[in-house]
Amino acid sequence: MLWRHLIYTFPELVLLAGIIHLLLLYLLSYDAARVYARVSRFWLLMSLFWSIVLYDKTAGPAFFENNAYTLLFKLLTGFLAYIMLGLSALWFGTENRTGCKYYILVLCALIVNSLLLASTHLLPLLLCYCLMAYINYRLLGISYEKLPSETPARYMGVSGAMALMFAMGFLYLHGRLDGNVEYSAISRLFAEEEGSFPLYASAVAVVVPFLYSLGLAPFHFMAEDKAGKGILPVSHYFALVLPMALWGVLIKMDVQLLSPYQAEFAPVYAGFALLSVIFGAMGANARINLHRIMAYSSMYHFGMVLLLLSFFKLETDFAAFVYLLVVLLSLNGGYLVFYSLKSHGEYLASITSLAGLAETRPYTTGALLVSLFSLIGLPPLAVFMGQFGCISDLLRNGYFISLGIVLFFLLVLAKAYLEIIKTAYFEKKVKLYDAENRIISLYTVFCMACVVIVAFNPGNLFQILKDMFYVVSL
Amino acid sequence: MNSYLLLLLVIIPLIGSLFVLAARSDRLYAPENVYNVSLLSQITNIGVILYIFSQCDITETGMQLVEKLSWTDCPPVILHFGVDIFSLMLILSVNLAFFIGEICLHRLTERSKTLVASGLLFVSLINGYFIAADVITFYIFFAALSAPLIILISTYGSQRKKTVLVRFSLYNLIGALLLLVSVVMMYNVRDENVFLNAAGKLSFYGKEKYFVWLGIFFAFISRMPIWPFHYWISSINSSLKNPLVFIVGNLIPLIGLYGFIRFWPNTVPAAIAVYAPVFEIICIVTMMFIALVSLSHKDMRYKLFAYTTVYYLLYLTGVFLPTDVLKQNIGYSLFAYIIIITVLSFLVSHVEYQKKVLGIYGSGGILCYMPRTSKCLSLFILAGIGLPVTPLFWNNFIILSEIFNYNLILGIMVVLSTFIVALSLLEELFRLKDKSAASSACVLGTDLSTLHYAVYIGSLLILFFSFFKPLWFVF
Repeated sequence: MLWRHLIYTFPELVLLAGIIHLLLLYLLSYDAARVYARVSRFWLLMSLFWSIVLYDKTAGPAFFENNAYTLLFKLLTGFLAYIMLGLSALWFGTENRTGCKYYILVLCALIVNSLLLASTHLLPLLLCYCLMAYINYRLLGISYEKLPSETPARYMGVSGAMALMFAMGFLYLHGRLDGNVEYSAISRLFAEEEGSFPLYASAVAVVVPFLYSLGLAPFHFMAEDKAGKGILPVSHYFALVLPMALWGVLIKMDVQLLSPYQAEFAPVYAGFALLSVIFGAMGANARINLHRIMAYSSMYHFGMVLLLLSFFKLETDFAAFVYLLVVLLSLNGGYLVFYSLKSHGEYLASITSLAGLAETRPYTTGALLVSLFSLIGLPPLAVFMGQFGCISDLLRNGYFISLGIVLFFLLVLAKAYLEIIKTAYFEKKVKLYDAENRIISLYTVFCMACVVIVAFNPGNLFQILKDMFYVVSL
Repeated sequence: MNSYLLLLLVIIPLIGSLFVLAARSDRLYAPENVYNVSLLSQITNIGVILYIFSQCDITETGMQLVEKLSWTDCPPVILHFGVDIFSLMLILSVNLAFFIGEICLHRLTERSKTLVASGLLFVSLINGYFIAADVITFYIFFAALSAPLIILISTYGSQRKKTVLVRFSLYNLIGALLLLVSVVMMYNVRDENVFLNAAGKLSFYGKEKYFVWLGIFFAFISRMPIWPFHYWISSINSSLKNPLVFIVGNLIPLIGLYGFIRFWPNTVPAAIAVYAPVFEIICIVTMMFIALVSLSHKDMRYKLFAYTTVYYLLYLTGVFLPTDVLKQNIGYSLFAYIIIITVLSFLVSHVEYQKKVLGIYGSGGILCYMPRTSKCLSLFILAGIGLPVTPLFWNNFIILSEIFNYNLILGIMVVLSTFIVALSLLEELFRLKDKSAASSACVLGTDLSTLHYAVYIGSLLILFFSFFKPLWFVF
């Protein structure tokens, strides 16, 4: 029995082995970032392999449950993390750093994300949330500048407050259910005592920390700093890997935990979603740092996802998932371009640094263009696919005003993207860019191909995703 | 069995575009490769178009060779493609225009890879737009066309117009989003994709119908230089110095016009069709306004833009008439018109280039020392304004007679606009040929090369044959 349970934890154990391997390399004084990246990626691939093999096996059935749904998010998180780990090696290589701490923290984060996704009990969810906040704090703390930044401490402070809120909600529910805080038991309690304010407040206390971690308005205090203050591989992690996992958790909570509060949560979600859409689009126009523009742009798109989740219907949840997937793919394309924006060995992040990029780096500009066009929703690129589903669902459910707001602010957001395009094409060249790295070019071509091909639904991809996604309701 | 013959029209230029992008820029023979790949794609495409013509029944007016392509199951979407003679004529003319453009550019351009790749992408998407047979496919190509447009205008537009680019792109996006919402509303009615000709038969709740059709209307208007929104397109177009990009700029209104033609005559419900006179008035105001402005303008390129705008609006007025008999005539006329503006665009570029090389400020009398250019420009301007040797003359005559038949005042205003714009072009031609205004430097002007001259005369011959038999190339 114990052996069987041990085998079921292979996906996480393998990542743990990866961490030990990285530590050993560090102790043996390996100093090449690419070695650390390769090791991390190897163990990540092993973990994904075991996740597929043991996709419906769970070590602690009282607290966790693995199924096709969790596998889906693990695979997508793993895919994005794999690309991120590969590219981060180039960044650390340029900076003459090993990046050991970063790789260890990312593998830790992947273990925690995996547990968060599999949780069916509030206790591991709370513990994993706290761990995730701590890992994020440590990741934000990776800085090679001499002056210490206040950002990590601020992040930890706010995240601590959120974790405390979560803990209070947890304690109340724990008390009400005599320690049995499984999703199903909580959901039953919510359904039985629908009018109870303390129960509603505890549900809010559980959900808000996740909204905060996703950087959704009005809890977006740290969203900008996560993107703009950290080093590039860290902002890449915050922009893509973490949201993919957290949305998986939030969607699962919506379906399995919060459905009795559908009527109460729907307008709240819709309100937060529209706020995110507005702040995201406005913020993107007000920033000149590319990472921050991307962060605000994500806020807009995440607002769309939340708006779809506000229907509390499985079909719209799936539309939200498709939208999320294609947006993250397109954002990934944007981040790949950031890795190739280098002048005299220094990574560039300001919008002005793109001036004249089209003249010297037409392919990089082309990749950026594809990503931005995709994020606007231009067919036949990936986000169009998600956008079509979103608009269709909003219209079906009579959300006409919300649709109007969403489309208007899409135009506002498009203006921010067009400013980037304008700078790349029209402004005079001010920087001499370093030679293009072949690995980044390969990744870029691969990701651009994904952005285009996904839209064509290859091999009935979306049906497969749907089958895996719908398991969440079983 | 479902054949994918029509899809070849999209795929061939797309593959050509990818090949061009893959060509190494640092090689000496790269421009040659780019040029050859582009020409080969265009020739193959024209071959396929002629083959498709031979497969169609030219007496049939409805959609032919309908093809299906399953896209997704969730939501269930099947894309449909099909052509009629009208859309095939447009496809052929656009492909011929780009073929002429490619030959005339002949490697002599900066950033040729971007130009050729984006140009081929544009051709691929506009072909897709013309073969779309349902609302979703139609929207996909309609919106996707913004991408090459933005790339080309960003790359070749004037630096001074960078703010206009942003506004122009946003304006285009507004149109695309409105069409998307309308298309999704149509889709939601039956939970399936809707054929273009069935769009008017859908039953919507209450006022939804108005929203859907207004969305469609504004989407297509966003591609046409109609008052009060004509500024962005005119501003962008007059700043495009590269002739091929200028052609692309001039095809933007064709996208809107084609949209109206596909949706308006048979499809639009009667409740919406009653508003057609309002649109006709707007068209007339714009035509008169642009025609008068062109008369006072000194820039030849602007005059050309004014000419194209007035003619597009003439066709649009024809579309708004409560009859669908004009569709074929508009198609034949557009075929000639697109070729004429392509050649005129290159000729104007040649004259402007000579002015720049010779350091001449005014272009008076410049044609006196360039006999081939003079002949070609004169012939094509005369063809453009109604010389009875092209299908433009005969078909525009029918369109105008229908407009007169419908409303006398409307007819007079339309004829007046075309007359003013023709006067403006003739005045410019006279100025270019006025020997007394020629400066001494004009003597050093270089005339058209034999290749270019042959291409232009060949284009004129195509128009000449089409005058006698519009589908002479179909056997």
